[in-house]
Amino acid sequence: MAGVRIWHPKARAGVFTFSQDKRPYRTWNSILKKFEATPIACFPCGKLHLTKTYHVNVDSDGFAIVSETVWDRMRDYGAFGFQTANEVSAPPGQVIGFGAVQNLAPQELSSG
Amino acid sequence: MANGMFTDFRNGQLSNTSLVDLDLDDIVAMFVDHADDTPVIATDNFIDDILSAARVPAIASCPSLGTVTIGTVAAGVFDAADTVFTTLTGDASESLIIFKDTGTESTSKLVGFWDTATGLPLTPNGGNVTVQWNASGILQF
Repeated sequence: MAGVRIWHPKARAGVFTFSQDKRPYRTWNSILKKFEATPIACFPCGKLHLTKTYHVNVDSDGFAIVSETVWDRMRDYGAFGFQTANEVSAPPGQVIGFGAVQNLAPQELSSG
Repeated sequence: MANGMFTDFRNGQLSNTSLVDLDLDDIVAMFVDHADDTPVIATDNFIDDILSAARVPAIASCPSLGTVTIGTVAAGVFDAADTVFTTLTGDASESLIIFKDTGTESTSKLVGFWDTATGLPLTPNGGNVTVQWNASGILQF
């Protein structure tokens, strides 16, 4: 199974977010041999997330497609009212896009 | 954090030590789950600095960058064709990295890190994920 289509009776046309309160964003400190909290400034949310936060795009009919792993995570928290609609063997492609600014950010040593 | 090149990669390229040949070495892409381990561009050197639980997907399934060019887009610019992760499953990821895959984790040097891009954080749906590099290139010295 490639993906899982899920459906919510009320959520429509938006981004549903949920956080795993016991999974802080963290960095392994190889010198101190321990994890350190590393919150992230979420680009799409504009919020600071302290713990693992999922963003699920829900369409106008209340459907979303997520990986099995993500669906498992949601169900760990009671699924938030979502329920399985069907399996999706060939989910639509997703895109990571780099605008000029993001793309050029690694070029901080650029002579320009 | 911010997008950037890993410090050890930058220093290595400039000091002729532990060089990465960007158009001959196998440069691959990987997403990283920051709830398992957040990359640190200042101190992480090789892929073994990224805990395996944080890797999406595992190294063996990471796509190589293809149609690599150096200096074609513009002087000092490393570029490649769009990179496709096939039927990406697993947990959500907060960043994308590229690194030289030598087949040995302790020598696979980290190159670039991006946590700011359209589509990040990524919540995978089990389908293909295409990284559309900007027309101006991936990174530049």
